Amino acid sequence: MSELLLFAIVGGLAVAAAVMMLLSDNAVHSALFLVITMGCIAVLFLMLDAPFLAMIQITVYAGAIMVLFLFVIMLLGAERIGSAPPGERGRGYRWFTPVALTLGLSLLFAFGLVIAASQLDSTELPPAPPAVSVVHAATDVGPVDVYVNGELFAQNLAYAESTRLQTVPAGDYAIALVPVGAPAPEQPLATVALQPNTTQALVAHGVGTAVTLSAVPYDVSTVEARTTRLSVFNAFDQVEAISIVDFGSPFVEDDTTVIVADLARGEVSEPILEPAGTVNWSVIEAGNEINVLYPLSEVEFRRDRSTLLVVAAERQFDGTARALAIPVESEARPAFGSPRAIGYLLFTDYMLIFQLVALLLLASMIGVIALKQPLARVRPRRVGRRKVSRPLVNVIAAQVGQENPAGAADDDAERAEREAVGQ
Amino acid sequence: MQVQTEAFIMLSLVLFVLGTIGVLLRRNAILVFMSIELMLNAANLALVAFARHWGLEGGHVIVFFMITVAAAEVAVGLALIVAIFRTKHSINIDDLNLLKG
Repeated sequence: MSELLLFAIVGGLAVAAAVMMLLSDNAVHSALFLVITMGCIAVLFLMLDAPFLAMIQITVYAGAIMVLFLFVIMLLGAERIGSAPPGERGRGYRWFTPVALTLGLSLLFAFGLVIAASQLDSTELPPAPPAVSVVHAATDVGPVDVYVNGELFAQNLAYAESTRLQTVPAGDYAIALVPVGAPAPEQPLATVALQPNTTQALVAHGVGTAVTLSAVPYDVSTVEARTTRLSVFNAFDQVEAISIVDFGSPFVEDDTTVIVADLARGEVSEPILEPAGTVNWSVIEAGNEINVLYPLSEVEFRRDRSTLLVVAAERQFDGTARALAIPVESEARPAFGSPRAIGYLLFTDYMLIFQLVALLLLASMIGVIALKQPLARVRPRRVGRRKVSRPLVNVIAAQVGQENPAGAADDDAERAEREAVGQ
Repeated sequence: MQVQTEAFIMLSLVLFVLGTIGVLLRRNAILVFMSIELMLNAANLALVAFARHWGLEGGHVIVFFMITVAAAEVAVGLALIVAIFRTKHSINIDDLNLLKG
């Protein structure tokens, strides 16, 4: 309710300031009213989960652009130029005001009807396609190629590696793993159904030829700033179940905290939200604190990430198997409308448009510089006597500075000759 | 409770119509320009409202570009107005009838 009230106040103020901008006689006042409208729109952006754009609106629009407007108004002294309504100038535009108002109101009416008739709030979002990543955690298996529906999906995936999180259309997929270079197999390892709006890690685990594929839900939704999300998948076959504990300080007795308790094989833990950084945790055999399988202090959990920790068995040279924690890391989705989210989009999907806009800015900069040069003067046409070309002899005479007597005599002879011919 | 998307679209429509009326009725070229800015802002508001409605940030990126382009457009437009003022000593758009014949 309070949000609705805020919307009514801010929206009303925006409309009132826009009306005052149109009615104001003084251009400076108009500009200041427009600043109010833009500030109100920035507040509305904040209400619409667009904090980054709200700041841009204030700095660029209310700041830079309006300062430019005020500067030009002051420069030209244009506060009152052309402020009289068109009807009073007696130029035959008397009919213009009612026509413009009618046009504007009919536009308002038509679009208002369309918006009122649209059932916007009952429409549903199209489902997001699922995202998937394949993790190789199978002991005694060398690098593999991953085939999905008979087509190559990932090449040369070594032990303890994972593919990038990729979006695929929803549906059923037949997954097969083959040694590197081998042809596509007849029988798939497993068939997984990928639902829309889900993110999954397909973990291949087991020993040798007895490899199974588990689809593990992998949460990459937004995490709070400066935190990280961690979930643990147990693919370690040497013990019944694992736990993750924080042994605490070695100098204090009995301050062991259990982070994840009794995770059986093939199970995934609930996501843990932690401040980013390193932790002083250890993977132990459940119920047996002395058997530390893997210390997690070497794994760094970076901020704004989702990490799936796959605990798998790694074959040693002496033939025994030891635990290894494989971190499968992915960026958590940035918060809606945050600078990170917009920057991510700018540098991926909208890179070309970004560059085109940058080119446009460059062109406009050059345009402003070109406009700043004084316009080419049209040379006024000279009124009065037209110039007639003089005989070459006179030109030479003028340059030499004296009359040419011989030439003059020639001229006289010619004239006499012409007159004779004429007669 | 969130304010419905329709409310924001209606508000942006009202602002857009006010900007249109300003472009049609005002004679001062700078005020016409400011009205165009108001229309751009109204369109931005509608884009951001739809972006929240659909949960897609593409609308935000487009608004980002629109603000950039508006800044470029204002710079060029005001330079034009200054150039016109230098030659005609007026920025009343009724006086700019060079193409009238």
